[in-house]
Amino acid sequence: MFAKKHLAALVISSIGLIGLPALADNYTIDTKGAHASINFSIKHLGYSILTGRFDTFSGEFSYDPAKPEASTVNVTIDTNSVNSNHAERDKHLRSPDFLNVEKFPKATFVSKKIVVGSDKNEFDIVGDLTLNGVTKSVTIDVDKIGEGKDPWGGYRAGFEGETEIKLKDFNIKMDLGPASQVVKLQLHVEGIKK
Amino acid sequence: MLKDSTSGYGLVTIVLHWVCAPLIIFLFGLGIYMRGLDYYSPWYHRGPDLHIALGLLIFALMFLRLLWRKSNQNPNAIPTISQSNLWAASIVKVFLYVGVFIICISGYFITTAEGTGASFFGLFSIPASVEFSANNVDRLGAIHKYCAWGLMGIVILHAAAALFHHFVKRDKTLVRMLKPTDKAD
Repeated sequence: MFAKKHLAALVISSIGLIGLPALADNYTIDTKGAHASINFSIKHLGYSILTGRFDTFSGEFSYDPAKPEASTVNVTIDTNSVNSNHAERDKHLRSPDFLNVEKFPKATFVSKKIVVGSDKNEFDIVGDLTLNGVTKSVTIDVDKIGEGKDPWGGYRAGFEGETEIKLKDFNIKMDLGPASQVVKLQLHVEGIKK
Repeated sequence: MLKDSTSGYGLVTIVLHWVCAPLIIFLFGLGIYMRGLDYYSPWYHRGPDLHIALGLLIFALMFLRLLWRKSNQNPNAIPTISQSNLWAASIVKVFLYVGVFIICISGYFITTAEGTGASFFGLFSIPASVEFSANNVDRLGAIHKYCAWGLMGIVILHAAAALFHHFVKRDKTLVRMLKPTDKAD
């Protein structure tokens, strides 16, 4: 079994050496070790910022530092896991006034295109966000934080990203007032190379 | 006067009954009203706070009623009422008590599901005991809602039966719950 795997790896890496373009590495987002989080924030009445997060999600991405524009990412969020540290508000957020989690238990993001700037560590991920049954294109502004070997024999790469969505765009019925129409999503992602 | 006797109900039972009855119906209405409120309504927070505080009060009063009922003599049945009607009345009463307790307890669990206590008008607060997952909180919410609707059905049956006995059968069923018995024992 082991020998076979090694042989396969050898064959594949030899093909790489012969001159095919290097393939991007695949990473699993480290939700198991909780080195990733999906946070949101929205203005409360226009006077302060309220934050919360989704506790349960999973995802993976492919990434090649030499060719970040070829990267892909997809994430699935369990909308039931919305957590703003307040039992009754969270119950309300799960209800049809907001996320309608009974009908739409999953939210997903699938990347379509990566636009890399002059700095290869900063790029925009354009992709489809499906939330509350509505799919819309969003652009996530991403900064790479770092990558390298971890102390336990693995290899990790991490990013942070930010985007804004309008509640109305995703058919979220509850009106929280003129100052609270837009939600910021703040994403912190660390992947472990597969 | 205060205690129940074989001939009728005492003042404590009667007062507790007539305090609880409108409170329970009011709380049902408040529950429906507050769920439909706009975020900018002055009652958006006041409604739920009042709902929780009065819910705690109802739980305490109903608990007291149960203790008082168990520690007192039960009035004798009115002889003109048939055995099957008496049975129906007792079953309705059991549903009323059980329904109110299920609604109170599920409400308490919803409010305290993430560890925050249930506040009684800011005077004191009943601490959380069990933390629930999102799914279970939503289940508790459904239980709270459907039991409340069910309870209102039972309340209508209970009230209709009382009025029927008073106006149609012209017996003392309703009067017994309005006028304390003279015999003190």
